[in-house]
Amino acid sequence: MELDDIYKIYMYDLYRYLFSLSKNHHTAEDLVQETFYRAYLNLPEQNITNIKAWLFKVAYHTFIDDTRKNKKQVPKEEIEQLKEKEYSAWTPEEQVLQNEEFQQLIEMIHQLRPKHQHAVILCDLHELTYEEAAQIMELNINSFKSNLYRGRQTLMNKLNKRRVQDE
Amino acid sequence: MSDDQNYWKIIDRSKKQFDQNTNIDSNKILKKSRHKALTTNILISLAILLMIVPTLTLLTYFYYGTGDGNGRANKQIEVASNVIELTEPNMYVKRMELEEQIDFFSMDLNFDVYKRIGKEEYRVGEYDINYMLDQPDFPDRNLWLDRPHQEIPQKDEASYIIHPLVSVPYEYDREWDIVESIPDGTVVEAYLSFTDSMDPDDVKDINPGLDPDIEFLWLAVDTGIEKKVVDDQGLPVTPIGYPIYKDPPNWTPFDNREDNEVAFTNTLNDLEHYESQATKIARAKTLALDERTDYIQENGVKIYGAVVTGPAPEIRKLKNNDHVRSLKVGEVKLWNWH
Repeated sequence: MELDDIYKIYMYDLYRYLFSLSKNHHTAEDLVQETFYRAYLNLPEQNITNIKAWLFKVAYHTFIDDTRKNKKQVPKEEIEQLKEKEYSAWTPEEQVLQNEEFQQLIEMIHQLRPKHQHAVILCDLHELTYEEAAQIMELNINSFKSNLYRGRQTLMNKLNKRRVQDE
Repeated sequence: MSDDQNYWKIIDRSKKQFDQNTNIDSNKILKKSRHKALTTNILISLAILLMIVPTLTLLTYFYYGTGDGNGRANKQIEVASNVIELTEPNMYVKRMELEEQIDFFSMDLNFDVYKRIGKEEYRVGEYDINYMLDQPDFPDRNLWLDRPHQEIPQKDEASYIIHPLVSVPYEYDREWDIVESIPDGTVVEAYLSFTDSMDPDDVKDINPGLDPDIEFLWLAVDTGIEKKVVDDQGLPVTPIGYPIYKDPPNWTPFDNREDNEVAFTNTLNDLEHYESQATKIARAKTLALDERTDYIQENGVKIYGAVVTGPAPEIRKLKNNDHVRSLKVGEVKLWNWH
């Protein structure tokens, strides 16, 4: 199978992952592109056995770099302005159509502690194994597991609460 | 429904929903990324390629500009010019007029050589020496002389200046015939061999009261090897000596600031460190500098021959000089003895 075909298989996963991290469609799309750019640059040097985990790792680093860059370059107010503009460019219908449930889920996940967030996103939302996810987060497997369980527990409680409210 | 099942259900549903609504052009994204990666690679390669020339240039200049006291290039120029002054009788380089071209780790030296004949200086040829780092190729010599020395000295042929202990070949008598036949209105460069080795200060005395009226241009130094004609390996040696300048240029070690014989010893000792380069530039295939410097240290500087210049009638008078054993005629030029 061609490398591009493999990349295409994971593109949606990556997009979803980067969206989960950034909560922004445009950023997610840009970062997907940046991720593949890095993948093309670095691939020849590496002997990759697990493409999915590797791509997620690259994507995570891309996201981190992007966050840092934006922190440095753009003053906060501007970001706020940009965000507003971005949102206003979307019609309400689109917003409703566009993954309301997923967005709510993401909002809820983002209320968790950062490490718990990431563990849940990697493992539960994107089906990476504990080892792979622990590697991406650069944690040992035990502390990763405890992060994941706590995050998952909190998230479940939140979901239950909401369900009760809805009912 | 348990919490757990509910949890997975929600996650699964929202994911599916998200993916359904996600509309990204994977081909376009991949194409863009690949294109960007390609551009980056090309730019990086281009930058590296463009850096090669400046880096090499910088390294080369650094190499030639440092080391050996005044920089390696200057040292090699000094060696080449000293070798010519020491091994080519009455021939010198004007170091200020010398041209050097520095390329990647190589240097190309170009210079003219001059002789004094009579009262005037004549440009008699050019040298072209290519260096790889500090190692010269054999020089490309181009001399315009009426009576040139052999390009490569042979051991069975007599040198132009003959040591007192070496017999003078029969055909050297003919040289006096040449002097006799030269018209009076000319100036002559002549190679004299003395009957004995003498101190440099005594050389002037062979010519008391300046009669004949001649000038000494170059003195051949006895370095112990001339009487054997060949060195340890059986390679023929050529005379070695030093110039005397009436009006010395400022670049030569023989600038009369100290005795020329001291300058000669110092220059020879210095050349010993660059013997391989010096031998390449010299006409002789061996300079035997080790043996020669040792001999001079023990025995001091003794002169056994000289290059002189003067009007033809004055040179003729040398035939009757007790100190002069033999003579060989060099270049002859029109009268300039003013």
